[in-house]
Amino acid sequence: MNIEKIHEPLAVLASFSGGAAQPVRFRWQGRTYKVEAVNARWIDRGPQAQCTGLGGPDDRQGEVYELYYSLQSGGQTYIVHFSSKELQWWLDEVVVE
Amino acid sequence: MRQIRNPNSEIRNMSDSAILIIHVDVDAFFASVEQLLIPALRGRPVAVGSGCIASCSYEARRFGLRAGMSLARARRLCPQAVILPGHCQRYRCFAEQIWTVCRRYCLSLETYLDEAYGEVTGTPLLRAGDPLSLGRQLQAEIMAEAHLPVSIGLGANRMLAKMASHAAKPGGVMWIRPEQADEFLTPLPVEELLGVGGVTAQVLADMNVKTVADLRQLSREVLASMLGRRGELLYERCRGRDLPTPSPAPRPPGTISRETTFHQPTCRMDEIRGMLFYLMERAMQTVRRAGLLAGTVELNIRYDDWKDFAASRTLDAPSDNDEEAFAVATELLGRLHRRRVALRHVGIVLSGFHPAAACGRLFEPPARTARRRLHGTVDAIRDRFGHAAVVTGESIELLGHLEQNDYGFVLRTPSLTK
Repeated sequence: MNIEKIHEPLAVLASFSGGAAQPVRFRWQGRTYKVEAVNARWIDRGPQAQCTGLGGPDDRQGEVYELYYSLQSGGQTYIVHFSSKELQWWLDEVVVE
Repeated sequence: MRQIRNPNSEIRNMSDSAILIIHVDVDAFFASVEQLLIPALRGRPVAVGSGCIASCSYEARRFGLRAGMSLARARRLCPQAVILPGHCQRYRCFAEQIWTVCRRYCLSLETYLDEAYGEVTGTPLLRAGDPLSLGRQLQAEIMAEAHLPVSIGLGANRMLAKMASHAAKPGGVMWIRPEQADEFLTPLPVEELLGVGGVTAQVLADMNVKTVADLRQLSREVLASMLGRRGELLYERCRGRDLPTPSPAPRPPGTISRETTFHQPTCRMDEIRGMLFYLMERAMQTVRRAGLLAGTVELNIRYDDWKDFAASRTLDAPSDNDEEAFAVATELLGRLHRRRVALRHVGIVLSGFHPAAACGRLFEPPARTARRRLHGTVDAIRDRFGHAAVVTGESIELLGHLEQNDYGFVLRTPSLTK
């Protein structure tokens, strides 16, 4: 198993429902990937803040955060995140079996 | 450690007789998170760590892998194990998801990286069912929201709750009823009692004390003379009694520590001092945030041949000043670092805390006042723009050698507070 660090911008199609975003497809290096499963998701508010689960009440309006997802597509795992500061999706890692 | 009081704590019914403490322990935490994120790791032996194992999956434990074991030995024991360096910030985020669920159940919660103590005495959920049902419900809710396995222990105090969760691992729920405490404790090997480490266990073994029942035969005076304050604590613990329950009012921590392993073992004094300064400023930032002053500095070093040395010194006066504490740390380094062998690991431990507000500043020298204000400003900048926004003191030696991100220098092993 090999974990490749990528850190490249990503175009993501996501559905927004129940207060949470769910990636459906993403486009990377000219190819479109269908998200077959969301393995996990978490929110990072930075080292000093408490991180909370997604979709809950939030009294930190205006605060910068990053939404992370572990996505499964084509037998590979992709770790992606959305930066609220940059309004940009990023591909962080690809796990190749 | 964080302590958070549930705002609805009035719901506690003071007529409910026995105190009930819950201990939530995430099973193989770091490895479980990695297995959650990467499905290909599920069912496979996984170890997380750098230099040594910080956490390993239950599949890896079947091969004899344990936390604290060197990775070289782990590879020998289990060549097929997947070894990952770990992602400290990810683990913090998942831990906080779990604690968010726990706060719905507890009157107060004291959290650490992978475990938490809470008080559930007399809560409505408890009155609606028995403690085991509450534990199972909490466990299921954590699994539904954070998708991570936890073991849960319940007991009349922290020690019993923690020993119950330990006995319930992996993935179980155990409640030690007050009337069962004796039956549970007495047959246990003495080293399974909370607070009995390797050295204490050896001292007790030399006295032919093998079980908790044997330990109970020793008087408080004998234990105190053998082991000091720890002996008095063990006298209480072997009888199922423990420290006070988690208090709503936060207590100052016993220690604040930072430690890390070098990417490569090093003899370069500028690199060693730079790393020590960096660890010290991270620890002191935590001290200042807690409104404390540190009284004692301890330095730990590990050579490349895994020989460990430690020394400590009390500061002339309690301080929250990076430079004052660093001066003591470098003095200790001079005393400890005598061998011509590279260092692989360094750590500092601050202890002997005093509330900063209780220490008068009326006669503080102007230079110290200026330094205190400077630290306050640097802390504020780092809180807003990330730790890496300002590099101070001798940690400048790490620039160009170590990568940086918003959280500071990217260390080989995260410099976590123990």
